[in-house]
Amino acid sequence: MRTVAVIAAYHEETRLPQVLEAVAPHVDEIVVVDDGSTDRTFEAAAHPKAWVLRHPLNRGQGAALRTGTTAALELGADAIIHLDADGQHDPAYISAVLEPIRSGKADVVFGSRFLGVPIEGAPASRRALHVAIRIFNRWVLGIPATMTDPQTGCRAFSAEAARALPFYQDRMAHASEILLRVTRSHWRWQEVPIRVIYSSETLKKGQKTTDAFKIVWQLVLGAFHR
Amino acid sequence: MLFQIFFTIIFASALALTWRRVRQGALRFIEGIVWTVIWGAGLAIIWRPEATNLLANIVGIGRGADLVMYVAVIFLLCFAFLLALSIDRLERQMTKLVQHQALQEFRRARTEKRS
Repeated sequence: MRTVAVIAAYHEETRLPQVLEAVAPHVDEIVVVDDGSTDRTFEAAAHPKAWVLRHPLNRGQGAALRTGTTAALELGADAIIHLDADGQHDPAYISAVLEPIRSGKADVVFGSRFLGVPIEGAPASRRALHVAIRIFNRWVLGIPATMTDPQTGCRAFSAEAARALPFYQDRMAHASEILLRVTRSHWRWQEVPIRVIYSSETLKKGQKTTDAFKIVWQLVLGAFHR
Repeated sequence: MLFQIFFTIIFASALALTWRRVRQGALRFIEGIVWTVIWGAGLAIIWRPEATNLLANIVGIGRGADLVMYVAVIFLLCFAFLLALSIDRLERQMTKLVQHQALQEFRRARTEKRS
């Protein structure tokens, strides 16, 4: 089974080389999408296993993952895994996330921070954001309560599922949109535990509590497009 | 009186512009009618503000001025939402363009690598 990791990178020149080194042994190829960075992220993404695409303008993580997923399918991927570029997803869990697809037990797999593996360095504000999004997902979007991680950036698709499950949100709301589409589809999905490591750098760049409102607003606007 | 004259000029100009755009084909006839009703209502309120009291009483609002204010706020909120929707649509089109360019370069690089 040909596995391709898709990484959306924005201003990650310092962390990206280590992330690629750590991810490379677990997949066949890597697609990095430099999402309009003005630093040297594009150059930093050079790796023997990596294809590097460049968005001339910053269009958001959702848009970059969509571009990367299209490229991964063109590379002939049988399974695609989305990962963050800041190294917060422990690469040791990549095989565990891909395993249900390899064994034919699931078409979409979400890596969850809340299934027993201790989270390192997550502040209370980040936990509050996850609780708020989880409540919104459950009561407004109708995403099953069994879904433990509402904003996971680590998810894997079989090639068929990736082709059949398009997502349209360019920015942060793509995570909720993907959950919504997957849980309402006939595709088999499951969550597996992953280890997430927060550092002061990733927290500085990552989501804020107020981003919950932006995500809701993006989803509201998105609902009027189709 | 200055207020009435000023807004009469504004609404009359809007009315003239509306029908000019209908003649140019930029607006449909039915849209011209809708806008004519809106501008006409504006003119009526400017010259006969007490007329709004009647409508306000029907919908349970004390004063006509309050009704005008509520309608204006609702209208502006709708307008702001439609504007946000329009910007979002443009953003999505921009994303498609950016993705197309990135994927074209990727395909070119793949072809070069193969050959």
